[in-house]
Amino acid sequence: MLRLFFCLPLCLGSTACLASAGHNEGSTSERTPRAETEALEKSAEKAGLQIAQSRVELVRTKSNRARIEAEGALEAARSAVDEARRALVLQREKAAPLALGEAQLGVDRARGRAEDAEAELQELEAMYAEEEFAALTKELVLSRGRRSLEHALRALEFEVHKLAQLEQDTLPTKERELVRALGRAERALTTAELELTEADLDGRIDLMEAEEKLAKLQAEE
Amino acid sequence: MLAALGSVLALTLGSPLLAGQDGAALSTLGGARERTPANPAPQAFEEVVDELEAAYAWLLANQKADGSFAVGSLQQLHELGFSVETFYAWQVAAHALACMALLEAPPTDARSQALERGLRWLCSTRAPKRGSSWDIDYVWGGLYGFVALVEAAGSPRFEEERWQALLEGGAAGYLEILRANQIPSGGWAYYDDPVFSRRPKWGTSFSTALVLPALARGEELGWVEDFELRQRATRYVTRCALPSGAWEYDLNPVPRLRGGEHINQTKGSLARTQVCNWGLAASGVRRITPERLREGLTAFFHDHRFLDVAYMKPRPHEAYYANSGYFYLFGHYYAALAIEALPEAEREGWHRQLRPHLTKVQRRNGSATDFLFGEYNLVAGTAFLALALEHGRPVHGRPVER
Repeated sequence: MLRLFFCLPLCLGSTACLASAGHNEGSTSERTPRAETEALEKSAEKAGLQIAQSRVELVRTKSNRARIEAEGALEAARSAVDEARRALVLQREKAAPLALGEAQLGVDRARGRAEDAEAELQELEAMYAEEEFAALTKELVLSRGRRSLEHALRALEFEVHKLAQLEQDTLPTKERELVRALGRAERALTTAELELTEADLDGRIDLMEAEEKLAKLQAEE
Repeated sequence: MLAALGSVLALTLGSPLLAGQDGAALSTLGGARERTPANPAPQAFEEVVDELEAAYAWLLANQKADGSFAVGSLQQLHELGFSVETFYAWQVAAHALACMALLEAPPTDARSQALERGLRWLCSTRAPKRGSSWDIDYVWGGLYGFVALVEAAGSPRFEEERWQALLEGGAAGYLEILRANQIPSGGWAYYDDPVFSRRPKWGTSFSTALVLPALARGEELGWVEDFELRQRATRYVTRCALPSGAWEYDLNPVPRLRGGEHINQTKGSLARTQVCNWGLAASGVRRITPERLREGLTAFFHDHRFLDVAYMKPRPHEAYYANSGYFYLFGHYYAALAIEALPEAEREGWHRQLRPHLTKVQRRNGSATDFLFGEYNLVAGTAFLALALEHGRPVHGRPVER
């Protein structure tokens, strides 16, 4: 549309120049005012035709660009769905079992340490019970052993609790988040598919309108 | 760093202890004999007489005017972290070993005088005290001080009543260290761990085993009245036995054996095995049979490369199987004693294998060390070397009491 405004003064200006030139050559030219008016009208018709042809090109270019953009958005949406699906599968098949295995190992290790501490304390108590000697120092060593066992048992409790929390809360929450993310990505994909269709239809309609206008101008000529 | 290294070198090079017999100062490496193969050719006693005499000569030349050996103060920056008292405790222990070496040496006037002066010093010097909360290295003074004086008391050269009284009086101070530091499970060692207590809680098999025969003789002499002292110690060492033939470094309620290169593997126990086998056998524990002694000695020579590679490593437990440099001469001395606990007919064969592993590490000036270059290292190392060679003297034959 802007181009039309730029073109009109150009066309009208050049017509005025032609008219002025004709006036200056009045003594030699036989053109009448009517002829000048016809020339002006003809020139305007020619410009309108050119504008209509350009508009068809413009609409075609815009339509292509809109399609490319819509296709890019669709591709990105497809990738996002793939990523979200992959993240969910990874969580279900690898990350969750690994985290559970690691936590279970933590429980097993803590249980082993507690059993070792208990066995050592029992051995120490049995060894010390064989003889009445250095009772005070023995009590220091035994209290250290009892403390070690108590700490080992508490550590085991923590590890068991951590495993339960992982199984019942952390991993299910994580999976729910990933499922929701996949749903969002799939909806975005559907939207992108629709937007591509819309872009196609919009482009086609605009082109048809521009071509119709051009055809009309050509027929009038 | 360079300043510290310079100090160490200046100290090392300037020490008369490191001077060769010609009086020329020798560098740390230059003082040692050229390294021989890991499995050198066996040597007869006649082939090592000169080396043994050189060791004795070095000890005599390095005795102080007051009869003492070594010094009781810090000499090397490697050992800066120990308590001040520990250096005195190590001097007492090294001094005791020097006396033991002179006691075993064929008597000469010079050696006898040196021995008497040495024993008088050992009996009159103050007993070492606990150095710090964790550092109870003074136990080394107690262990070897007691062993040396018991050995001296058993010698015909010190039968006189005045000597017996002097030795017994001196031994009482060292015995008191042992009595006060025997851990609840019966052993002795040289560090305590939290919670620090008057009676420590950590023991080791080797430091306990080395004193067992002396405690038995101390009982015979009437010096040790609490027979449970030795019984507890014997139980401690016996509990350190592992099915492999190795001996646990320290007794744990459940034996430690983590990983294939652990110190409690046979190859990490080569030196410990000798002292534990000998200590129990020589104090009448029947489970240590000649076959058990042979197995220990066979492993010692078969895997000797692990002691060779640890020799002179300045960082404790740096080598494979956590072997330390200072296992070397200690282990060879007790290997010689373990050999002496075997039937007489087979001893020389073992000694022939042992001798070259001693002479190959002796320095040109007659001294020996397997770890650092403090005076206590050199005195103790030279004494261990002389004792090990002397126990292989063919006429030495001293049957083990069973």
